[in-house]
Amino acid sequence: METKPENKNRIRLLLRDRPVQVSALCLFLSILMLYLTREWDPLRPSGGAAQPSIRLENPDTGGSPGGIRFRWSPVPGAAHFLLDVFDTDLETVIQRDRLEGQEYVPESAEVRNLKAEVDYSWWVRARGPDGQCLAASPRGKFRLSGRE
Amino acid sequence: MPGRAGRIAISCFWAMLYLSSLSGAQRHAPEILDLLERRGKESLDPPEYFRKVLKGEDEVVVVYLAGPGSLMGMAVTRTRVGIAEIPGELHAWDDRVRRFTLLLQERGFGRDAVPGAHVLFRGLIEPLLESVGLDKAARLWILPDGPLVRLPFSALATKRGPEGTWLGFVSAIQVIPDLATMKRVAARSVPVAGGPARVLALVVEDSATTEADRVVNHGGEGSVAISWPCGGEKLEALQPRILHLTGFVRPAGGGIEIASSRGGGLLDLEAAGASDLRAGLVVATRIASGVENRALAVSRPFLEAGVAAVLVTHWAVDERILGKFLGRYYLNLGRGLDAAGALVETRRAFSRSPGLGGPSTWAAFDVTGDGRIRLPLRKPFRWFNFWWYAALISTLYLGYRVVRVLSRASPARD
Repeated sequence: METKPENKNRIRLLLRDRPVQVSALCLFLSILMLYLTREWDPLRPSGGAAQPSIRLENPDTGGSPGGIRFRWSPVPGAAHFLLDVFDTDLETVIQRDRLEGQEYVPESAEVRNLKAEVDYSWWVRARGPDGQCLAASPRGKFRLSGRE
Repeated sequence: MPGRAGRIAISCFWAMLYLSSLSGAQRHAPEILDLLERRGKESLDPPEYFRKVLKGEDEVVVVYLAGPGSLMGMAVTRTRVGIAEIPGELHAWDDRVRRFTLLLQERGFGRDAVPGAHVLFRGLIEPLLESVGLDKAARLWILPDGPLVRLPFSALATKRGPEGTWLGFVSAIQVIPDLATMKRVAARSVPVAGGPARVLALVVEDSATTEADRVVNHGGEGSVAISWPCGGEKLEALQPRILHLTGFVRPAGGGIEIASSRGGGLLDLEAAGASDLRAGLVVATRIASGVENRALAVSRPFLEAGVAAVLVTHWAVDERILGKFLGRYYLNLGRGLDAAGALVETRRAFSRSPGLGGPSTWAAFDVTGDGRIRLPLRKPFRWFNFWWYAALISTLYLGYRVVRVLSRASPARD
């Protein structure tokens, strides 16, 4: 590809009139490229089958003690679900196995164990008839604002 | 017009830019049970196969044993053996590990998991280190059992609170699937670097060619990329020190199956074991979903075939970040760090780069087997790197112009 004569002239003039600025720009570009080329480009090979997931219908349940309700999406082939609620120290707060529906409202005794202004996490796992884990949900979070 | 020197510098700059564009270029053996039974009755000596791998006083082997309802732990240094019962029931630890890995996999994970990470450290690592009179270890050999085979130990926090220090930043961790592997590691001397390590990238899908090219570029002289499926004899003839698998793998029938759109197939591990990989590394970071205890399940066949170490993941890592992580890991290997040490440095580097996923990325990786192997790859600084020359010439020219301007200005002041 031929460079047009007027463009050549422009470059020449730029180099003649602004040599310091041009070389400073070159230095800046060089340093920028040195920084950038330390990393690899994003790579995208073919993927494997994604793990099926359960969607939490109300991941941020909570608020008042009476308003806690855990709901999640159905999973094809699931025989039952396991609901797990835990605190920041990973200790069990509520754990319910063999739930057949897609909703669980904690009993009053379970709610009494929950403390106000404490962060709790919950998630659900779906199990097949043989007990094998079919899918798992991401984490939902909640906290109680205060006692009723 | 710029002077003669300036014109030469600018010509060099453009010439190099043009040239660079062209180049494009467990189950644990009865011995452990025996040690646990003798606890308290007599002073215990560290078993020979542990002593052989421990080079310094701050190196520790940690062995866990899952009993019918509880967990026991044993820490071994060169001179001492400490045994501690891990408080809590086995199913409670199972729950904690599941919850912790759930928290870790969240993108943008931050302070939420630090308290849990510290609870795990306090329960699983701290009492064992205390039992041998240490508060930290430079190198940890971990033989997990029960639910702990799924635990990324690197993400345990040595302190509670946002300033919590991750175990994987202070200790070079290598996970050993079982005692038989530990004995194999102890039986051979530390693999010593010979010539430059040769990298073999196995291109499983055509879309992974770019990745393979970059791996080969990092590997330097003698490194190649070949297409999967390939015969075992080819693998044996190439004698790589690093085998980089670009495809998804799963354990199958005592071997490793590689999934490909051209048809899956078993990797010839016998050929891999017969090659230089005995003192080398397999990078198998893409593991098919649904594999139970994936990190150890995929490592075990490689380690049994004689491979020294395997880089694996506990969960699927974002593909865009995986490439960056592995690139940095190879750079650190090239700097002369060993396989486990390079992972520590890569984790640290990633923790300093916001937006790269935090622990959801770096905690996923683990080195299994002998993490002491060193693989002398090409040095990260390359003399032919165009941009170093460009920066040097630009700096010299800039300096020259500044000196000229100053020398013109100085008589006026007089």
